[in-house]
Amino acid sequence: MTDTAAVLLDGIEKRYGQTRAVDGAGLALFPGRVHAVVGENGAGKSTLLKIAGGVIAPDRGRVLVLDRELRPATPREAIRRGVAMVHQHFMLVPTLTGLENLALGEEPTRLGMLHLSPLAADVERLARSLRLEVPLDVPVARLSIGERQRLELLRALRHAPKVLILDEPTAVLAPAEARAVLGLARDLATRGVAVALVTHHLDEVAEFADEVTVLRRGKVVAHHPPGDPAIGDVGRLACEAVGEEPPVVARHARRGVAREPHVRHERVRLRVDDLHVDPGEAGAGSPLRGVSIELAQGEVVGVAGVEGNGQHALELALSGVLPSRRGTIALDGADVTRVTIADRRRRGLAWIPSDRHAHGIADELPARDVLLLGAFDEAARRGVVDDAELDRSFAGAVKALDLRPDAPELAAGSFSGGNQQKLVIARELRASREGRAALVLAAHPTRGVDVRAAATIRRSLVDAARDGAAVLVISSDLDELRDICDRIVVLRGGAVVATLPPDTPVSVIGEAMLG
Amino acid sequence: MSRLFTLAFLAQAVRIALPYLAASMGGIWSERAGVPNVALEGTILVAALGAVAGTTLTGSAWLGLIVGLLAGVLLQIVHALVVLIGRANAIVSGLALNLLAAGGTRFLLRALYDSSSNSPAIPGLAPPASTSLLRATVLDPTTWMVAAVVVGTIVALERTRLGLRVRAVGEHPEAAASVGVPVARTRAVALAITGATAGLAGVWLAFDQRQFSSGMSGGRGFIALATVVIAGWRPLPAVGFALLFGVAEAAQIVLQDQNVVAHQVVQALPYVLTLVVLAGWVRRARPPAALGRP
Ligand SMILES: Nc1ncnc2c1ncn2[C@@H]1O[C@H](COP(=O)(O)OP(=O)(O)OP(=O)(O)O)[C@@H](O)[C@H]1O
Ligand SMILES: [Mg+2]
Repeated sequence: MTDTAAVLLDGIEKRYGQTRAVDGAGLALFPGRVHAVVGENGAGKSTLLKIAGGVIAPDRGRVLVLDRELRPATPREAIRRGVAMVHQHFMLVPTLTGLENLALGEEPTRLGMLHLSPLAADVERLARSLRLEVPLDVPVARLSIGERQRLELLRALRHAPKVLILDEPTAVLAPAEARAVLGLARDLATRGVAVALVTHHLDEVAEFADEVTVLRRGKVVAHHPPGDPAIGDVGRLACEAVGEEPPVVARHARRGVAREPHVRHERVRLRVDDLHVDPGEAGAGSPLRGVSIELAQGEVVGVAGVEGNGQHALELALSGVLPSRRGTIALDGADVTRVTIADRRRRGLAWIPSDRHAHGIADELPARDVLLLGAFDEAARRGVVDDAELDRSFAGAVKALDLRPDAPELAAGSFSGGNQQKLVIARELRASREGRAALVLAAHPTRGVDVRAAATIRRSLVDAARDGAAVLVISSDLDELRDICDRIVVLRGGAVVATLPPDTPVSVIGEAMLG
Repeated sequence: MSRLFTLAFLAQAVRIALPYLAASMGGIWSERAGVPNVALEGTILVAALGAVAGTTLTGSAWLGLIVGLLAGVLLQIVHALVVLIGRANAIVSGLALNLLAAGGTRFLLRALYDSSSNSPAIPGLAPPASTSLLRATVLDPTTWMVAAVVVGTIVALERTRLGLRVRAVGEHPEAAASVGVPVARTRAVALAITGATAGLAGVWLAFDQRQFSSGMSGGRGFIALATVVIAGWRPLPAVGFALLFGVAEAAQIVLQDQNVVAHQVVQALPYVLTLVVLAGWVRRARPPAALGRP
C-alpha cells in the first residue's frame, strides 16, 4: 500500500527566538521509498525530521503517523508507533556500553535486575544479518566513529521500524561504509520501510533516493516525486538548495578548486618521524605503527584510509591530545613531541578536529566566544578580551562562510550541525590568514557542510597553503583529497602504505586502502 | 598507641563512618543523575529532627525513623522542584535549603520543645549505652540499614533499570530523552532516594546521641560530599573513603586523649586527609558530564 503515507507532516512551523527554523514545511514519507531531504546548512532539515520523530513539538502543524496524530509528541510515542531515528549528532551515552545504550529506554529486567544477555544475543543476530557488527561490551567512548554509527543504526532497526529517519548518516563515514549504510537503507525500503535520508552528498541522492524534497530557510522550495529526472540532476538540486541560477552554482557544486601547480618550497614545516601511538581509551581507534611524513611550506597533503586504520590516532597525536609512544613530531624544526596542545598552538598549529563536540566547541558558549577558544593570546591583548575584535571576526565568518544565523550571542550548540563546523573552521583558519600558521591539521573539514560552504572551505585550505602553512587533510572523501592535495598518503594498519599523486584514479587509491 | 587498632577502635571508626556512608550514597544518587547536591547537610539535619519529633510524638522509635526519612525526602523533593521545574541553579538551591534547614529546625525546636539548644532525650533503636561499643554497633538496626543502603546503591546503580537510567541522564540527557527516558522524572526519583539515604544519616545521628541538638549535622553532609567527589562519583570507592575518614576521626579521638601530639594538629587530621586525597587522587576522577546541566 503506497497510497497512505507512513508519516505525514503538514504546515509545520517551529521558531527559536527570531529564527524560523521550519516555516510552513510539509513532508510525506511513503512505505517503500527512500525520500531524500536536502538543503543548505540551517535550512531546517534536522528540525523538521526531529518533529517527525517526536523529539521536538512543532509550534504549529500536524504530524500524522499512519493516519493518526502523533500524540503525545514524544520520542517514546514515536518509537512505539514504529518511527525510528538516527540523529545527526550521536545520541549515545559515552560512558555506557553499547549494550546498555541499546537497552536504554526499554530495559529488559528479571526479578528487578537488568537482564541484558538475551538482548545481546538478539542484537548480535540482527547485527550479523545486517552486517553492522560492533563490540557491545565496551563503553561507547572507546568505539570509533564508524562503530558508533553502526550502533545507532542497530538501535534504530532493533524493532523493525515502519519508518526510518536518517539525519546525515553518511557524513562521518568512509565511502565504503557510507555505501553500505545507503545500500541498507535501500534494502529496507524494498521491504516496505519508509526511509527519510538527509544528506549533503547530492550524488548519493541521485543513486539511492526515489523522491526528493528541497528545503530552504524552513520552506519546501522543491519536491520531486519518484521518476522525476531532477532527482539524478546534481547540478539542479544544488541550485534549488541555494536558490541561485545554474551557472553560478554549477561551479560551486563541482568540487573543483583550481590548483596552481605546486611550487615546492624548501622549508620543512612538519616532520613526523617513526611515530608510534597507542589509542588507549580515548576512542582513537587503531594504533599508529611507525608513521613518517614530511610537509613543506605551501604543501597540501591528504591522508586517506579506511576508517579505523590510524587516522584518528594520527590526528590526536599531532594535535597533542594523545601522547606518542615512540618517534618524534617536529614543527618548524623544533621537537614538539612532548609539548602541550597550547604550546603547539603557540608554535603555529591550527586544528580542525574530527569530533568538534569533544575538541572543537563548547555547546553552551555564545558563538562569538567559540571563535576565541584556544586563541586568547591574540584576542586578549594586555589581558583584556577585545570585544570589537571578536565581533569583527564573527562578522568575517558570517561573510566568508555564509554562517547562519548571524547571531553572535546564540549558544554554539543551537547552531545547525553544518554551521557549528563553520564556526570551528573560521577560528582555525584565522591564524593562517594572518600568516601565523605553520601547520593546518584538518580532519574531515567539510563533514556535514553544504556544497557551497564545502567549496569555500576547500578553497580556504588551499589558500592557507599559499599563505605559507603546511596543510594536512585527513578525509574520507577521496574526491576532495584529489582536488586539493599535492600528494595523498594512504594509511593502512597504522602505517603509510602508499604515497600517490593527486591525479591517481579513485579506484587505485581504494585498492591501496584495502591492500 | 596500643589503643589504636583494637576491636573497640574499629567499632568506633565504623560508627563515625556510618553517617558519611549513608549520606555519600545519597550524594552519588543525586550527582550521578546530573543534579549537584550541596543540600546533603540540610537533609541530615531535618531528618534528625524528624526522627526525634516522630519518636516523641508517637512514642515509637520505628515511627520516628520513618518520619525522619520522610523529612529528608521532603527536603530533596523541594530541591527537585526548584531545580527540575523551576530550572534554578542547583548549587544555589542547595545552599538555600541548607540555610532553610538550619533556621527551620531551630524554629521547630523552640516550638516543639521550647528550647534553643536541644530536645529531650529519646530512647533510639540502639541498645542501652552500658553495652560495649562493639556490641552496640552490631546490635543497632540502623547500622544494618546503612549497610543495606550501601549494598543497595552499589548493586542498583550498576544492575537495575533505574540505575542505568540515572547514569544515562547524568551523562547525556538528550540521548536518554531521545530513546524515551523521562529525564526530569528519573532525576526526581534519584533525588527522593538521596533524601531517604542522606536522611538515614540524620536519623542515625539523632538515635546515636538520643536527642536532637541544634546544628547537630556538624558538617557531615559536606564531608560526605567531599567523599563523593574523591571517590569519583563511584559507590565502592566512596565506601573506602568514608571508612578512611572514620578511622582518621577515631584516631583523632584516641590521640587527643593520649596527648602525644598537639591536639590542634590531631583535630585537623581528617581535613588534612581530605585535602591530601583530593590533591593526589581526584585528578583522575571525572564528574558526570551533565552535572548541573538542565
Ligand atoms: N535549539 C535551538 N535553539 C535555537 N536555534 C536553533 C535550535 N535548533 C535549531 N536552531 C536553528 O534553526 C535553524 C535550522 O536548524 P537545523 O538544525 O534544522 O538545520 P539543518 O538543515 O539540519 O542544517 P545542517 O545541514 O547544518 O545540519 C538554524 O538556523 C539553527 O540555528
Ligand atoms: Mg542538520
